[in-house]
Amino acid sequence: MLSSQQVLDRYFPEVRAWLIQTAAVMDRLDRAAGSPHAVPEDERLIQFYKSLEVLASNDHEADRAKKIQMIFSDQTPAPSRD
Amino acid sequence: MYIIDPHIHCVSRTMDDYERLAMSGVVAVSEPAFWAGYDRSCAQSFVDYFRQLTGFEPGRAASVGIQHYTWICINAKEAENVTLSREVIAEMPKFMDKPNVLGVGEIGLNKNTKNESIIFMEQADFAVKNGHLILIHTPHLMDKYKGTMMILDMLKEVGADPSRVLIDHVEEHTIAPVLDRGFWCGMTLYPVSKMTPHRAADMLENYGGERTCVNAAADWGVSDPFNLHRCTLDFRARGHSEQQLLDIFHNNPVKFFSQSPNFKVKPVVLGEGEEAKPTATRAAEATVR
Ligand SMILES: [Zn+2]
Repeated sequence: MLSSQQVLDRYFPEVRAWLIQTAAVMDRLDRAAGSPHAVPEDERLIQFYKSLEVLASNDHEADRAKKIQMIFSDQTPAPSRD
Repeated sequence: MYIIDPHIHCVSRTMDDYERLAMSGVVAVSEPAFWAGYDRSCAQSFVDYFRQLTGFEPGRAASVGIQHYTWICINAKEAENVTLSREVIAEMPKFMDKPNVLGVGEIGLNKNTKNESIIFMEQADFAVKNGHLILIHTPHLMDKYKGTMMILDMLKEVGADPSRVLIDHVEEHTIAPVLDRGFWCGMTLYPVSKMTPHRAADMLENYGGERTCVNAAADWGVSDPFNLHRCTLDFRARGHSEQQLLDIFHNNPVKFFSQSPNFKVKPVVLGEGEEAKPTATRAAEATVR
């Protein structure tokens, strides 16, 4: 098992890259014709902003990856086979 | 390092891939029947595909010293066509006792529809009644959670023995329900959009690696069989021993597949002194690609 220092050393570059990439997509959305603020009801945007809240959470029990997975999951009931 | 890729679609890969897999420690592959990227027009197309899986592919693999195993079924996507599916299911018994066939797969769900569920139940029932192992495809992205839960319910309904079923493509939100009910799970490493080698290594650490296989599910789409090797590198860099690597990337598939008498690979256990010891220094020095 790695120490927290080792985890940071090993994975920081990719986290930095992904965060900047996410920021760039948000900027792109803002610049786009009919910016996202015009369609806040789009489910994907709602999921996106909910995920950012999970990322910002300081709860050590957060299980962030699983929580974000569930935000992006269809949770409607299964169809009947009859 | 000895590696088994428990889920790869060799029919979509070149001989160069086979050769590089062999050169990088892959001793055996298992190839489930899947969607070809287009819907086939008749059951006879599947029969020819099954002939390819049981006749031609084992020969290609053997030419570079890799053992090729396979699974027979109609895939989740084309299962939407119930009539065609039933024609294909009727042809399956002819192939189930070919020497490289391990069982029925990859059956599953794609969009979690009624038709897919009907055909899933019929194939799972066929497997259970005839004593075949089952390999299961779970849906991707937003459909994964619901589809996985539907599959778990249907497997219970059909009376499948969890120790003879591997549920593939689990992610952070689906691994626990699969393992908790006694099933095997598979983690699939895709280069884009889905599970990454690093997240797979996290899940191996979080859940202990029991009843867990890791694969790259390389096919005709954007995919890379060597993502599996990237996961071994990350897992080793985190300080896990060579024996732990062998157990996950070789011996776990051996354990699951050996429930079929057709599977011939034996587990690898390192003797004393053979254990290469990864050090904390090595882990710290390792850098992200
Ligand atoms: Zn597959």
